[in-house]
Amino acid sequence: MNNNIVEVINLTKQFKNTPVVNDLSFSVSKGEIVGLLGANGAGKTTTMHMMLGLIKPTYGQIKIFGHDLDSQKNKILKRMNFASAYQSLSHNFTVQENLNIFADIYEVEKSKQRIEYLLEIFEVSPLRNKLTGGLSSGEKTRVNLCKALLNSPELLLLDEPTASLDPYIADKTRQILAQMQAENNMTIINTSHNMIDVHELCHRILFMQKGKIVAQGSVGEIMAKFGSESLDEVYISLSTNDSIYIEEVKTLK
Amino acid sequence: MTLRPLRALIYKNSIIWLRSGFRLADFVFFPMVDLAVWGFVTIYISQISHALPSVFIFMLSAIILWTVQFRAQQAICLSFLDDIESHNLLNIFIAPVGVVTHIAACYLVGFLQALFVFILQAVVAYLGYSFSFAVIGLPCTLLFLNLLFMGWSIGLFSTGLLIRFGHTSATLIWVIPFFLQPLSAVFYPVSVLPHWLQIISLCLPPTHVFEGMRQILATGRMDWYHLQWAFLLNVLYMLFASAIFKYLYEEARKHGSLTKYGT
Repeated sequence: MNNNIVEVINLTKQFKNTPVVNDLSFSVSKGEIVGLLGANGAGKTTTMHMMLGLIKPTYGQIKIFGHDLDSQKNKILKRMNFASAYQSLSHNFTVQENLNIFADIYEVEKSKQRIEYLLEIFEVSPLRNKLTGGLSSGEKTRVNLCKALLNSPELLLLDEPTASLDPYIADKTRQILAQMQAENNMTIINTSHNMIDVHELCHRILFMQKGKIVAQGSVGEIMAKFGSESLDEVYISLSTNDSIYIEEVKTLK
Repeated sequence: MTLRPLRALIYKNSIIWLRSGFRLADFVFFPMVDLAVWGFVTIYISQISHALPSVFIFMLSAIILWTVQFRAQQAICLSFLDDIESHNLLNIFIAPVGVVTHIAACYLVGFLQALFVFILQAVVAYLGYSFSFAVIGLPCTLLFLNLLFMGWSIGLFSTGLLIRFGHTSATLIWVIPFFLQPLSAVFYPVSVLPHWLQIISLCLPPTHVFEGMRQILATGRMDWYHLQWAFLLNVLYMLFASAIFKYLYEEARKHGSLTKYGT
Protein backbone atom coordinates (compact mmCIF):
# COMPACT_ATOMS: atom_id res chain seq x y z
CA MET A 1 0.00 0.00 0.00
CA ASN A 2 1.22 3.48 -0.83
CA ASN A 3 2.17 5.18 2.43
CA ASN A 4 2.96 8.53 0.85
CA ILE A 5 1.28 11.55 2.37
CA VAL A 6 2.80 13.92 -0.15
CA GLU A 7 3.64 13.26 -3.78
CA VAL A 8 5.17 16.04 -5.81
CA ILE A 9 5.38 15.09 -9.47
CA ASN A 10 7.43 17.03 -12.05
CA LEU A 11 6.59 20.29 -10.34
CA THR A 12 7.72 23.39 -12.19
CA LYS A 13 7.13 27.04 -11.49
CA GLN A 14 8.30 29.81 -13.76
CA PHE A 15 8.00 33.49 -13.01
CA LYS A 16 8.36 35.51 -16.23
CA ASN A 17 9.92 32.47 -17.95
CA THR A 18 12.53 32.06 -15.21
CA PRO A 19 12.24 28.66 -13.53
CA VAL A 20 12.15 28.94 -9.75
CA VAL A 21 11.16 25.32 -9.23
CA ASN A 22 12.35 23.06 -11.98
CA ASP A 23 10.82 19.64 -12.66
CA LEU A 24 10.84 18.75 -8.99
CA SER A 25 9.67 15.32 -7.84
CA PHE A 26 9.70 13.86 -4.35
CA SER A 27 7.45 12.07 -1.93
CA VAL A 28 7.05 12.11 1.83
CA SER A 29 5.80 9.15 3.85
CA LYS A 30 3.45 9.24 6.79
CA GLY A 31 5.23 10.19 10.01
CA GLU A 32 8.36 11.45 8.27
CA ILE A 33 10.01 14.75 9.14
CA VAL A 34 11.62 16.09 6.01
CA GLY A 35 13.87 19.13 5.86
CA LEU A 36 13.78 21.17 2.70
CA LEU A 37 17.11 22.96 2.58
CA GLY A 38 18.87 25.30 0.24
CA ALA A 39 20.21 28.80 -0.14
CA ASN A 40 17.94 31.81 -0.55
CA GLY A 41 16.19 31.57 -3.89
CA ALA A 42 16.64 27.79 -4.15
CA GLY A 43 12.86 27.35 -4.47
CA LYS A 44 12.01 25.94 -1.02
CA THR A 45 9.37 28.45 -0.01
CA THR A 46 7.84 28.54 -3.50
CA THR A 47 7.54 24.74 -3.34
CA MET A 48 5.87 25.00 0.05
CA HIS A 49 3.49 27.71 -1.13
CA MET A 50 2.52 25.53 -4.10
CA MET A 51 1.79 22.71 -1.65
CA LEU A 52 -0.60 25.09 0.13
CA GLY A 53 -2.36 26.09 -3.09
CA LEU A 54 -1.19 29.70 -2.77
CA ILE A 55 0.89 29.57 -5.95
CA LYS A 56 -0.28 27.83 -9.09
CA PRO A 57 2.35 25.52 -10.62
CA THR A 58 3.33 26.11 -14.23
CA TYR A 59 3.47 22.34 -14.75
CA GLY A 60 3.28 19.26 -12.61
CA GLN A 61 1.03 17.85 -9.95
CA ILE A 62 0.84 17.79 -6.17
CA LYS A 63 -1.00 14.97 -4.42
CA ILE A 64 -1.60 15.17 -0.70
CA PHE A 65 -3.33 12.36 1.23
CA GLY A 66 -3.77 10.74 -2.18
CA HIS A 67 -5.91 13.62 -3.48
CA ASP A 68 -5.06 16.09 -6.21
CA LEU A 69 -4.43 19.47 -4.54
CA ASP A 70 -5.82 21.51 -7.40
CA SER A 71 -9.21 19.82 -7.44
CA GLN A 72 -9.68 18.97 -3.73
CA LYS A 73 -7.96 21.85 -2.00
CA ASN A 74 -10.33 22.47 0.91
CA LYS A 75 -10.63 18.78 1.76
CA ILE A 76 -6.82 18.58 1.96
CA LEU A 77 -6.29 21.89 3.77
CA LYS A 78 -8.60 20.79 6.57
CA ARG A 79 -6.10 18.04 7.48
CA MET A 80 -2.93 20.13 7.27
CA ASN A 81 -1.56 23.44 8.50
CA PHE A 82 1.29 25.87 8.08
CA ALA A 83 3.40 28.24 10.14
CA SER A 84 6.07 30.68 9.11
CA ALA A 85 8.26 33.09 11.00
CA TYR A 86 7.28 35.74 8.44
CA GLN A 87 3.56 35.72 9.05
CA SER A 88 1.36 36.91 11.84
CA LEU A 89 -2.24 36.61 12.90
CA SER A 90 -4.53 39.65 12.70
CA HIS A 91 -2.89 42.52 14.60
CA ASN A 92 -6.13 43.99 15.88
CA PHE A 93 -7.20 40.89 17.77
CA THR A 94 -5.93 39.43 21.00
CA VAL A 95 -4.04 36.14 20.88
CA GLN A 96 -7.04 34.33 22.37
CA GLU A 97 -9.47 35.88 19.85
CA ASN A 98 -7.25 34.99 16.91
CA LEU A 99 -6.96 31.39 18.06
CA ASN A 100 -10.72 31.20 18.70
CA ILE A 101 -11.37 32.43 15.14
CA PHE A 102 -9.05 29.85 13.58
CA ALA A 103 -10.41 27.09 15.84
CA ASP A 104 -13.85 27.88 14.42
CA ILE A 105 -12.57 28.10 10.84
CA TYR A 106 -10.92 24.68 11.20
CA GLU A 107 -13.96 23.41 13.17
CA VAL A 108 -11.73 22.16 15.99
CA GLU A 109 -13.54 20.00 18.53
CA LYS A 110 -13.09 20.90 22.19
CA SER A 111 -11.36 24.03 20.97
CA LYS A 112 -11.20 25.70 24.38
CA GLN A 113 -9.09 22.88 25.85
CA ARG A 114 -6.95 22.64 22.73
CA ILE A 115 -6.15 26.37 22.80
CA GLU A 116 -5.37 26.20 26.53
CA TYR A 117 -3.02 23.28 25.96
CA LEU A 118 -1.16 24.96 23.08
CA LEU A 119 -0.85 28.31 24.88
CA GLU A 120 0.54 26.45 27.85
CA ILE A 121 3.16 24.34 26.07
CA PHE A 122 4.45 27.24 23.97
CA GLU A 123 4.56 29.38 27.13
CA VAL A 124 2.37 32.13 25.72
CA SER A 125 -0.53 31.86 28.19
CA PRO A 126 0.29 35.24 29.78
CA LEU A 127 -0.08 36.85 26.34
CA ARG A 128 -3.59 35.59 25.67
CA ASN A 129 -5.27 38.96 26.25
CA LYS A 130 -2.65 41.03 24.45
CA LEU A 131 -3.20 42.37 20.95
CA THR A 132 -1.22 40.26 18.48
CA GLY A 133 0.15 43.39 16.79
CA GLY A 134 1.94 44.33 20.01
CA LEU A 135 3.86 41.07 20.38
CA SER A 136 7.56 40.63 19.68
CA SER A 137 8.51 38.64 16.57
CA GLY A 138 9.44 35.61 18.70
CA GLU A 139 6.09 35.76 20.51
CA LYS A 140 4.25 36.06 17.19
CA THR A 141 6.12 33.01 15.90
CA ARG A 142 5.02 30.95 18.91
CA VAL A 143 1.42 32.11 18.53
CA ASN A 144 1.63 31.14 14.84
CA LEU A 145 2.77 27.69 15.89
CA CYS A 146 -0.23 27.44 18.23
CA LYS A 147 -2.48 28.30 15.29
CA ALA A 148 -0.71 25.76 13.07
CA LEU A 149 -1.27 22.97 15.60
CA LEU A 150 -4.88 23.86 16.45
CA ASN A 151 -6.42 21.30 14.13
CA SER A 152 -3.94 18.51 15.11
CA PRO A 153 -2.74 18.43 11.50
CA GLU A 154 -1.69 15.19 9.87
CA LEU A 155 0.68 17.23 7.70
CA LEU A 156 2.45 20.30 9.02
CA LEU A 157 4.42 22.64 6.79
CA LEU A 158 6.89 24.90 8.55
CA ASP A 159 8.81 27.75 6.95
CA GLU A 160 11.79 28.58 9.16
CA PRO A 161 9.81 28.00 12.35
CA THR A 162 12.60 28.94 14.74
CA ALA A 163 14.01 31.90 12.77
CA SER A 164 13.06 34.56 15.30
CA LEU A 165 13.25 32.50 18.49
CA ASP A 166 15.87 32.74 21.20
CA PRO A 167 17.95 29.56 21.74
CA TYR A 168 15.92 28.43 24.78
CA ILE A 169 12.54 28.80 23.05
CA ALA A 170 13.92 27.41 19.79
CA ASP A 171 15.08 24.30 21.65
CA LYS A 172 11.75 23.99 23.43
CA THR A 173 9.90 24.39 20.12
CA ARG A 174 11.91 21.56 18.56
CA GLN A 175 11.12 19.37 21.55
CA ILE A 176 7.39 20.14 21.32
CA LEU A 177 7.32 19.43 17.60
CA ALA A 178 9.25 16.17 18.06
CA GLN A 179 6.92 15.12 20.86
CA MET A 180 3.75 15.93 18.90
CA GLN A 181 5.12 14.18 15.85
CA ALA A 182 5.85 11.06 17.89
CA GLU A 183 2.45 11.09 19.62
CA ASN A 184 0.34 11.61 16.49
CA ASN A 185 2.62 10.25 13.79
CA MET A 186 2.39 13.67 12.18
CA THR A 187 4.23 14.33 8.92
CA ILE A 188 6.33 17.49 8.89
CA ILE A 189 8.02 19.31 6.05
CA ASN A 190 10.33 21.96 7.35
CA THR A 191 12.42 24.60 5.60
CA SER A 192 15.21 26.00 7.69
CA HIS A 193 18.57 27.70 7.58
CA ASN A 194 19.19 26.54 11.11
CA MET A 195 21.16 23.31 10.96
CA ILE A 196 20.38 22.51 14.62
CA ASP A 197 16.70 22.28 13.61
CA VAL A 198 17.63 19.93 10.82
CA HIS A 199 19.97 17.77 12.94
CA GLU A 200 17.53 17.39 15.79
CA LEU A 201 14.25 17.09 13.91
CA CYS A 202 14.63 15.76 10.41
CA HIS A 203 14.61 12.09 9.42
CA ARG A 204 15.51 13.00 5.88
CA ILE A 205 16.68 16.10 4.08
CA LEU A 206 16.21 17.33 0.53
CA PHE A 207 18.80 19.81 -0.60
CA MET A 208 17.53 22.20 -3.24
CA GLN A 209 19.50 24.36 -5.62
CA LYS A 210 18.09 26.33 -8.54
CA GLY A 211 14.70 24.71 -8.09
CA LYS A 212 15.97 21.12 -8.17
CA ILE A 213 16.87 18.54 -5.57
CA VAL A 214 20.62 18.08 -5.69
CA ALA A 215 21.05 15.77 -2.72
CA GLN A 216 18.83 13.75 -0.45
CA GLY A 217 19.14 11.33 2.44
CA SER A 218 19.49 11.31 6.20
CA VAL A 219 21.80 13.85 7.84
CA GLY A 220 24.48 11.15 8.24
CA GLU A 221 24.16 9.96 4.65
CA ILE A 222 24.43 13.49 3.27
CA MET A 223 27.51 14.31 5.35
CA ALA A 224 29.17 11.00 4.37
CA LYS A 225 28.38 11.57 0.71
CA PHE A 226 30.06 14.98 0.69
CA GLY A 227 32.86 13.94 3.06
CA SER A 228 31.93 16.73 5.43
CA GLU A 229 31.96 16.82 9.17
CA SER A 230 29.01 19.14 9.51
CA LEU A 231 25.81 19.89 7.68
CA ASP A 232 26.81 23.54 7.57
CA GLU A 233 29.80 22.60 5.39
CA VAL A 234 27.59 20.67 2.97
CA TYR A 235 25.17 23.58 2.93
CA ILE A 236 27.89 26.07 2.03
CA SER A 237 29.41 23.80 -0.64
CA LEU A 238 26.09 23.14 -2.27
CA SER A 239 25.04 26.76 -2.12
CA THR A 240 28.22 28.13 -3.64
CA ASN A 241 29.43 25.46 -6.02
CA ASP A 242 27.59 25.15 -9.32
CA SER A 243 29.63 22.12 -10.45
CA ILE A 244 28.20 20.10 -7.55
CA TYR A 245 24.77 21.10 -8.76
CA ILE A 246 25.41 19.88 -12.31
CA GLU A 247 27.04 16.66 -11.13
CA GLU A 248 24.37 15.83 -8.57
CA VAL A 249 21.47 16.52 -10.89
CA LYS A 250 23.06 14.18 -13.45
CA THR A 251 23.55 11.48 -10.79
CA LEU A 252 20.03 11.77 -9.47
CA LYS A 253 18.61 11.52 -13.00
CA MET B 1 -19.40 22.12 6.13
CA THR B 2 -21.16 23.75 9.08
CA LEU B 3 -21.83 27.45 9.55
CA ARG B 4 -19.07 27.67 12.17
CA PRO B 5 -16.33 28.96 9.80
CA LEU B 6 -18.73 31.51 8.28
CA ARG B 7 -19.70 32.70 11.76
CA ALA B 8 -16.01 33.06 12.68
CA LEU B 9 -15.29 35.12 9.56
CA ILE B 10 -18.31 37.38 10.16
CA TYR B 11 -17.10 37.93 13.73
CA LYS B 12 -13.56 38.66 12.51
CA ASN B 13 -14.69 41.08 9.80
CA SER B 14 -17.02 42.92 12.19
CA ILE B 15 -14.58 43.32 15.05
CA ILE B 16 -11.77 44.83 12.97
CA TRP B 17 -13.90 47.95 12.62
CA LEU B 18 -14.32 48.34 16.34
CA ARG B 19 -10.65 47.85 17.24
CA SER B 20 -9.26 50.80 15.37
CA GLY B 21 -10.20 54.36 16.31
CA PHE B 22 -9.53 55.52 12.75
CA ARG B 23 -11.79 52.87 11.23
CA LEU B 24 -14.48 53.57 13.76
CA ALA B 25 -14.25 57.26 12.84
CA ASP B 26 -14.46 56.35 9.18
CA PHE B 27 -17.45 54.13 9.88
CA VAL B 28 -19.54 56.43 12.09
CA PHE B 29 -18.09 59.93 12.24
CA PHE B 30 -17.65 60.76 8.56
CA PRO B 31 -21.18 59.76 7.48
CA MET B 32 -22.43 62.11 10.20
CA VAL B 33 -20.12 64.88 8.96
CA ASP B 34 -21.39 64.32 5.41
CA LEU B 35 -24.94 64.58 6.60
CA ALA B 36 -24.28 67.76 8.57
CA VAL B 37 -22.40 69.51 5.76
CA TRP B 38 -24.89 68.62 3.03
CA GLY B 39 -27.82 69.38 5.31
CA PHE B 40 -26.57 72.89 6.14
CA VAL B 41 -25.55 73.60 2.54
CA THR B 42 -29.00 72.70 1.23
CA ILE B 43 -30.72 74.74 3.94
CA TYR B 44 -28.60 77.69 2.89
CA ILE B 45 -29.29 77.17 -0.84
CA SER B 46 -33.03 76.92 -0.17
CA GLN B 47 -32.94 80.17 1.81
CA ILE B 48 -31.01 82.26 -0.68
CA SER B 49 -32.61 80.97 -3.85
CA HIS B 50 -36.14 80.34 -2.59
CA ALA B 51 -35.80 77.09 -4.48
CA LEU B 52 -38.31 74.32 -4.19
CA PRO B 53 -38.35 72.89 -0.66
CA SER B 54 -37.89 69.51 -2.30
CA VAL B 55 -34.22 70.34 -3.04
CA PHE B 56 -33.61 69.86 0.65
CA ILE B 57 -35.15 66.39 0.87
CA PHE B 58 -33.59 65.36 -2.47
CA MET B 59 -30.15 66.16 -1.12
CA LEU B 60 -30.58 64.55 2.28
CA SER B 61 -32.12 61.38 0.83
CA ALA B 62 -29.31 61.19 -1.72
CA ILE B 63 -26.52 61.49 0.83
CA ILE B 64 -28.11 58.88 3.10
CA LEU B 65 -28.64 56.38 0.29
CA TRP B 66 -25.19 56.97 -1.26
CA THR B 67 -23.63 55.95 2.05
CA VAL B 68 -25.27 52.51 1.70
CA GLN B 69 -23.28 51.73 -1.44
CA PHE B 70 -20.07 53.19 -0.05
CA ARG B 71 -20.28 51.22 3.24
CA ALA B 72 -21.09 47.92 1.54
CA GLN B 73 -18.03 48.29 -0.69
CA GLN B 74 -15.66 49.42 2.05
CA ALA B 75 -16.55 46.53 4.36
CA ILE B 76 -15.41 43.98 1.79
CA CYS B 77 -12.16 45.67 0.81
CA LEU B 78 -11.04 46.65 4.28
CA SER B 79 -11.41 43.10 5.64
CA PHE B 80 -8.82 41.93 3.11
CA LEU B 81 -6.70 45.07 3.55
CA ASP B 82 -6.53 44.38 7.29
CA ASP B 83 -5.28 40.84 6.60
CA ILE B 84 -2.62 42.20 4.24
CA GLU B 85 -1.48 44.78 6.81
CA SER B 86 -1.36 42.14 9.56
CA HIS B 87 0.52 39.61 7.38
CA ASN B 88 -2.44 37.31 7.98
CA LEU B 89 -3.51 36.88 4.36
CA LEU B 90 -1.74 33.52 3.96
CA ASN B 91 -3.48 32.13 7.06
CA ILE B 92 -6.79 33.16 5.56
CA PHE B 93 -6.13 31.67 2.13
CA ILE B 94 -4.75 28.37 3.44
CA ALA B 95 -7.73 27.86 5.73
CA PRO B 96 -10.08 25.10 4.55
CA VAL B 97 -12.72 27.61 3.59
CA GLY B 98 -13.56 28.47 0.00
CA VAL B 99 -13.14 31.99 -1.33
CA VAL B 100 -16.94 32.10 -1.67
CA THR B 101 -17.32 31.74 2.13
CA HIS B 102 -14.86 34.60 2.71
CA ILE B 103 -16.77 36.80 0.29
CA ALA B 104 -20.13 35.79 1.81
CA ALA B 105 -18.86 36.81 5.27
CA CYS B 106 -17.70 40.16 3.89
CA TYR B 107 -21.04 40.70 2.12
CA LEU B 108 -22.96 40.06 5.33
CA VAL B 109 -20.76 42.44 7.31
CA GLY B 110 -21.14 45.01 4.51
CA PHE B 111 -24.92 44.65 4.73
CA LEU B 112 -24.93 45.05 8.53
CA GLN B 113 -22.68 48.11 8.38
CA ALA B 114 -24.68 49.73 5.60
CA LEU B 115 -27.91 49.10 7.52
CA PHE B 116 -26.45 50.46 10.76
CA VAL B 117 -25.15 53.67 9.17
CA PHE B 118 -28.37 54.08 7.16
CA ILE B 119 -30.51 53.89 10.31
CA LEU B 120 -28.13 56.16 12.21
CA GLN B 121 -28.19 58.78 9.46
CA ALA B 122 -31.97 58.55 9.14
CA VAL B 123 -32.39 59.12 12.87
CA VAL B 124 -29.94 62.05 12.90
CA ALA B 125 -31.64 63.57 9.84
CA TYR B 126 -34.97 63.32 11.63
CA LEU B 127 -33.65 64.85 14.85
CA GLY B 128 -31.46 67.47 13.19
CA TYR B 129 -33.50 68.53 10.18
CA SER B 130 -36.97 67.11 10.89
CA PHE B 131 -36.59 65.08 7.74
CA SER B 132 -38.28 61.70 7.84
CA PHE B 133 -37.14 58.98 5.47
CA ALA B 134 -40.62 57.53 5.83
CA VAL B 135 -41.67 59.83 2.95
CA ILE B 136 -40.08 57.32 0.58
CA GLY B 137 -42.03 54.48 2.11
CA LEU B 138 -41.57 50.81 1.34
CA PRO B 139 -39.77 51.26 -2.02
CA CYS B 140 -36.89 52.50 0.11
CA THR B 141 -36.05 48.84 0.80
CA LEU B 142 -35.67 48.18 -2.92
CA LEU B 143 -33.51 51.28 -3.38
CA PHE B 144 -31.38 50.18 -0.41
CA LEU B 145 -30.96 46.65 -1.81
CA ASN B 146 -29.92 47.90 -5.24
CA LEU B 147 -27.25 50.16 -3.77
CA LEU B 148 -26.10 47.31 -1.52
CA PHE B 149 -25.69 45.03 -4.56
CA MET B 150 -23.72 47.69 -6.41
CA GLY B 151 -21.52 48.23 -3.32
CA TRP B 152 -20.86 44.49 -3.20
CA SER B 153 -19.89 44.42 -6.88
CA ILE B 154 -17.47 47.33 -6.54
CA GLY B 155 -16.12 45.77 -3.35
CA LEU B 156 -15.50 42.45 -5.06
CA PHE B 157 -13.78 44.15 -8.00
CA SER B 158 -11.59 46.30 -5.71
CA THR B 159 -10.67 43.27 -3.57
CA GLY B 160 -9.61 41.41 -6.71
CA LEU B 161 -7.25 44.31 -7.48
CA LEU B 162 -6.02 44.28 -3.90
CA ILE B 163 -5.04 40.61 -3.85
CA ARG B 164 -3.49 40.82 -7.30
CA PHE B 165 -1.60 44.12 -6.95
CA GLY B 166 -1.35 44.54 -3.16
CA HIS B 167 -1.08 47.85 -1.35
CA THR B 168 -0.40 49.82 -4.52
CA SER B 169 -4.04 49.38 -5.51
CA ALA B 170 -5.45 50.25 -2.06
CA THR B 171 -6.05 53.87 -3.08
CA LEU B 172 -8.61 52.62 -5.60
CA ILE B 173 -10.82 51.44 -2.73
CA TRP B 174 -11.53 55.11 -1.99
CA VAL B 175 -11.17 56.45 -5.52
CA ILE B 176 -13.66 54.18 -7.33
CA PRO B 177 -16.78 55.36 -5.42
CA PHE B 178 -15.85 59.01 -5.90
CA PHE B 179 -15.20 58.40 -9.58
CA LEU B 180 -18.66 56.85 -9.90
CA GLN B 181 -20.49 59.45 -7.82
CA PRO B 182 -20.69 62.25 -10.44
CA LEU B 183 -21.67 59.72 -13.11
CA SER B 184 -24.39 58.19 -10.95
CA ALA B 185 -26.52 61.36 -10.82
CA VAL B 186 -26.66 61.18 -7.04
CA PHE B 187 -27.34 64.84 -6.30
CA TYR B 188 -28.85 66.00 -9.61
CA PRO B 189 -31.06 64.47 -12.31
CA VAL B 190 -29.36 62.60 -15.11
CA SER B 191 -30.81 65.14 -17.56
CA VAL B 192 -28.32 67.81 -16.44
CA LEU B 193 -25.41 65.75 -17.76
CA PRO B 194 -24.18 66.19 -21.35
CA HIS B 195 -25.81 63.71 -23.70
CA TRP B 196 -22.76 61.46 -24.05
CA LEU B 197 -22.37 61.29 -20.26
CA GLN B 198 -26.08 60.48 -19.89
CA ILE B 199 -25.52 57.34 -21.96
CA ILE B 200 -22.73 56.24 -19.60
CA SER B 201 -24.68 57.29 -16.54
CA LEU B 202 -27.73 55.22 -17.52
CA CYS B 203 -25.52 52.13 -17.69
CA LEU B 204 -24.88 52.42 -13.93
CA PRO B 205 -27.40 50.90 -11.50
CA PRO B 206 -27.17 53.77 -8.93
CA THR B 207 -28.33 56.27 -11.58
CA HIS B 208 -31.64 54.41 -11.80
CA VAL B 209 -31.87 54.19 -8.03
CA PHE B 210 -31.43 57.95 -7.59
CA GLU B 211 -33.72 58.79 -10.50
CA GLY B 212 -36.31 56.51 -8.87
CA MET B 213 -35.73 58.14 -5.49
CA ARG B 214 -36.28 61.64 -6.89
CA GLN B 215 -39.42 60.52 -8.63
CA ILE B 216 -40.90 59.12 -5.41
CA LEU B 217 -40.01 62.31 -3.54
CA ALA B 218 -41.46 64.51 -6.29
CA THR B 219 -44.61 62.58 -7.19
CA GLY B 220 -45.16 60.18 -4.31
CA ARG B 221 -45.15 57.15 -6.61
CA MET B 222 -42.53 54.63 -7.64
CA ASP B 223 -41.47 54.29 -11.26
CA TRP B 224 -40.80 50.58 -11.73
CA TYR B 225 -38.99 51.26 -14.99
CA HIS B 226 -35.96 52.60 -13.12
CA LEU B 227 -36.02 49.84 -10.51
CA GLN B 228 -36.19 47.13 -13.17
CA TRP B 229 -33.17 48.62 -14.90
CA ALA B 230 -31.30 48.93 -11.62
CA PHE B 231 -31.91 45.24 -10.82
CA LEU B 232 -31.02 44.04 -14.29
CA LEU B 233 -27.81 46.09 -14.37
CA ASN B 234 -26.92 44.92 -10.88
CA VAL B 235 -27.17 41.30 -11.97
CA LEU B 236 -24.83 42.06 -14.88
CA TYR B 237 -22.39 43.99 -12.67
CA MET B 238 -22.36 41.19 -10.10
CA LEU B 239 -21.60 38.59 -12.77
CA PHE B 240 -18.92 40.83 -14.26
CA ALA B 241 -17.34 41.56 -10.84
CA SER B 242 -17.35 37.81 -9.98
CA ALA B 243 -15.66 36.95 -13.27
CA ILE B 244 -13.04 39.70 -12.81
CA PHE B 245 -12.41 38.63 -9.21
CA LYS B 246 -11.96 34.99 -10.23
CA TYR B 247 -9.57 36.06 -12.99
CA LEU B 248 -7.54 38.32 -10.67
CA TYR B 249 -7.44 35.62 -7.95
CA GLU B 250 -6.08 33.06 -10.42
CA GLU B 251 -3.60 35.65 -11.73
CA ALA B 252 -2.52 36.30 -8.13
CA ARG B 253 -1.87 32.56 -7.69
CA LYS B 254 -0.05 32.42 -11.02
CA HIS B 255 2.22 35.40 -10.24
CA GLY B 256 2.70 34.57 -6.55
CA SER B 257 1.01 37.80 -5.42
CA LEU B 258 -0.83 36.14 -2.53
CA THR B 259 2.48 35.20 -0.93
CA LYS B 260 4.23 38.40 -1.99
CA TYR B 261 1.65 40.72 -0.43
CA GLY B 262 0.50 38.33 2.29
CA THR B 263 3.83 38.03 4.12
